[in-house]
Amino acid sequence: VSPEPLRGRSARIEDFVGLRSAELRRKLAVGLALGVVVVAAVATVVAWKLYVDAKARDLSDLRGRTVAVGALLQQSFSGDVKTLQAVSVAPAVVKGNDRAVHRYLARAFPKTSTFSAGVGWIGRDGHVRASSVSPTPRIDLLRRLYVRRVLATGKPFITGGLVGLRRHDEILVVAVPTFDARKRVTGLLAGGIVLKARPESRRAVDLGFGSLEVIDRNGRMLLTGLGRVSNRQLLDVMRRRGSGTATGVDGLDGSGDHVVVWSTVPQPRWLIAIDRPTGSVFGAARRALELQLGSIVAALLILFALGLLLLRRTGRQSAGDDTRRDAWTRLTRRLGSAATPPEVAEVLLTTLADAFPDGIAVVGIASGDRLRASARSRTSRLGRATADAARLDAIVRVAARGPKTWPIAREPDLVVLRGAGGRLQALHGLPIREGSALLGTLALVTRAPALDQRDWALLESFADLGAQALQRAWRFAREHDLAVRLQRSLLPGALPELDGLELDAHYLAGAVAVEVGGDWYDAVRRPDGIVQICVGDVSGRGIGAATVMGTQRSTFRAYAYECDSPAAIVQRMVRHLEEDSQMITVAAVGIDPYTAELTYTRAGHPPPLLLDLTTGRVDRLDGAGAPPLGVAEAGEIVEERVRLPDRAVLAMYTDGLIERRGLNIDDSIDVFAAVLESSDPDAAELVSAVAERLGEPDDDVALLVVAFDADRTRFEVELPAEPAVLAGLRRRLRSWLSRRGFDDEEASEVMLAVSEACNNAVEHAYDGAQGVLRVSAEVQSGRLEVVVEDRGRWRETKPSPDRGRGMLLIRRLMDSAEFHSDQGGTRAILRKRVPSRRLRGQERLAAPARG
Amino acid sequence: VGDGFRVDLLRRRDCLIASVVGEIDLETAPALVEAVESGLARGSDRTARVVIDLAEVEFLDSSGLNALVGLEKLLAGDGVELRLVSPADRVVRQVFEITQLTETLRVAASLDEALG
Repeated sequence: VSPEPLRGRSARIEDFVGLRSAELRRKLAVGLALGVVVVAAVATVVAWKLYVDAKARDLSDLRGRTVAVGALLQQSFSGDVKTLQAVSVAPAVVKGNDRAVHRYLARAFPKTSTFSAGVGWIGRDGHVRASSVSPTPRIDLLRRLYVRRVLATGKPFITGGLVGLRRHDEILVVAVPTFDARKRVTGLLAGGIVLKARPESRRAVDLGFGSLEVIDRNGRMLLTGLGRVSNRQLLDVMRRRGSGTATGVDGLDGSGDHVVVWSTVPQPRWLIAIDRPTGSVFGAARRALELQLGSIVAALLILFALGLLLLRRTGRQSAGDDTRRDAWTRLTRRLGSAATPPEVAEVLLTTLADAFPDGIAVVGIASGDRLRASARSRTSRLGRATADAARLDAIVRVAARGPKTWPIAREPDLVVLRGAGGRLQALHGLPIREGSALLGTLALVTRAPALDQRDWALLESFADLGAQALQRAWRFAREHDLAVRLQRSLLPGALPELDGLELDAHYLAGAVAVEVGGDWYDAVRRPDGIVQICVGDVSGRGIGAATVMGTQRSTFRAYAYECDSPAAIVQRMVRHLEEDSQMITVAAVGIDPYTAELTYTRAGHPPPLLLDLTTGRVDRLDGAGAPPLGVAEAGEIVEERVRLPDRAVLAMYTDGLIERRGLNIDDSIDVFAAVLESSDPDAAELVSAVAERLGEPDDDVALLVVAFDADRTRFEVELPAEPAVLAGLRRRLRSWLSRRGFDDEEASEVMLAVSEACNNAVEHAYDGAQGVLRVSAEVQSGRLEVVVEDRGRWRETKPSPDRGRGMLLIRRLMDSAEFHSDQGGTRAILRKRVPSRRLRGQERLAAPARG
Repeated sequence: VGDGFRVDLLRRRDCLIASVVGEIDLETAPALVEAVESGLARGSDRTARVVIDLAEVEFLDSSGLNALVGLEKLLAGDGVELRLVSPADRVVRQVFEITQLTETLRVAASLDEALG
């Protein structure tokens, strides 16, 4: 199966997501529901119709039975009548010979004959003249209606149910008139039929069909002991209509919900009725209905199950669509935050592995002229199958020739994958291209031999998105690198180094931004030993900010040499600011390591922190505040001076270090203070320690830390050789000496000697030209050594008492004094033991290892 | 001139009293000489004695001494006597002792003594 790549255009989301499948699924569900309802309705209607028909059939069957029974009865009675009529024309009857009739009757109607109650010949007076039973009973029957009726009408008559006079049986009587030769009615022949006496008769009439009733003219039920019909109302209806059916009515005995079917026997006008509870009549129909309804329900259930199955299948298909769409969405989102090519590769790899969990995702990224490959699989067994550089190389090389699917078994270049485990069958690969440039490859190794068309479309879209992201990442990497290098070039290459005052700075470029930031720092160690430090932040980014920053930095450097006061320097920076310049925040500090004085000024900048290493106390240098440059007037820039503790750490930083979205700046500064107090004064480590506590900084960060140790300072100043500098020099040297075991007076003596040495240099060395005076001092092995140098020419002058006094003072005040002169200048070395009472303390500080 | 260096001039009869506060070094020494000279020039009467009060001098080196010696010679030529009031600072006093100028320059213990 060969894939059909979307040549000549980019993959669209419709290619790998069947957008209509959801709609289809909805329609399917609606159709299914509709179908079920229609089938259910039709089946129910049909079943109901069948039920009604069955009921009608049952009823007509019942009616048929009543009619049949009626006919049977009619026939039976007419047979009886005929039998009696045949007897009535017998000569004995016509002649009126009682005895002969008696014999005849007895012979013709044995007990077993139809007339089980016997047959009698009744005369006109109502007396029985002869009978089939012997002896003929002497009873008068004139009261009987049937007797009178037959005598009156001369026609046959069938009675309803009667109670026999002789035996009190339940009987009915069939009577026919008898005539004499002249056709005059002489009496009647009456045959009695015992109803009870012939239990089989009931069966004979009901044809094995229960609940048959024969109701006589008097409303007596002949088959059930002549009981009267208690439901007179029903009886009336039955009589009125002759025949019919009534459903859901009270039965003959008045009990509820019966079906009554009846017809009339014209002679002797009896009603044949079947009266049964409805349930027993329609039971079969109902059972049939129930069966049918059951079948319908079963059929519906099967239909429903089939529908669900179908829905599930389309659901699975749309779930596949969802997976693909999710993968695509995840990829676009993750690629948005992938800045570097390796990050893009990682995102592609992860997302691809997620999208095809039962395959191996392989991504190759062009690096130089080869492809760097990495593989990932959510199935760990498969993951191992590609944990091999040779296999990965083969995969990415083959994939670069795609888009195509290669069967692993038949592709010579994929030999290394055979037997790699996991029964791998196919490699689906395609290049990530931008124009003709190969940026990388994308590959999927699967156990299935082919890939769904939509999955292919997804792969294509991955390659497209990957190409865009890789391009962006390469460009970003180049630009970021450029920005970082530009930034570095704008920051000082090296910080001043001097004993007892160690500076360390760290600059962290914001990871996200490509453009150069506007943070900077700088430090200047002036010849006079004063260190001027500045940390600043130009708002905005890019070349504009960098230019402003460059200008400000050089302004600072220029004036740092000229001005002692940080405020004066910053005031000049204000003046050098162009109209409508960006805002700049800046903090400037001047440190005199010999007097241990710190002077600072701030313009819109967070306060520098000063840690006293002896006490662990951290002070915020939050005085001397002014608005940012660009807003502040020069006159608003002020400064404050604090004493520097003997051992201290000063930290100056830009707000990127402590500013985090959602965090209070004040709290963040406290966090930084805590970090500063517990860490070494290493700028890079401090930055990462703060990032650990507060999170990675959003913005650029500049941090400059100064570690001060008064004991380790070496006095070293270079001043213009002018009388004006001497007072300041003495003041600073005195302050420095005061921390070296010299009390006021002793320091004064040293200063007097040093002053004399300086006088020589200032007065004589340069002969009025501008020169340099260098004074350095240090204490070693309990001895103070002060060196005063100039670079002027030593001029042999005639000894004068003036000059003599200076030399005299030097020699008297110091332990020793040497003077060296050559072409390069003069060098006076003055030495004096540190007063012994404080020597021990000094030595212990100087060399703690000796204990 | 010089941080905290000051010369206060006071005339009492034929005495010019110059009270020096601060440090006398290469930079301020000429100023001291100038101050005394201007004091002398301003006076209408003749000045018989100049008293330089060094009590509040914190520093004095050879350039200061040279200035004082030069001033003494200059004044002596005009017949004006120079007297000094001893510095309170021990090291400053020491400068005079080491250079043995207490012989040349008349150093009084107090202003009253110098005026007396």
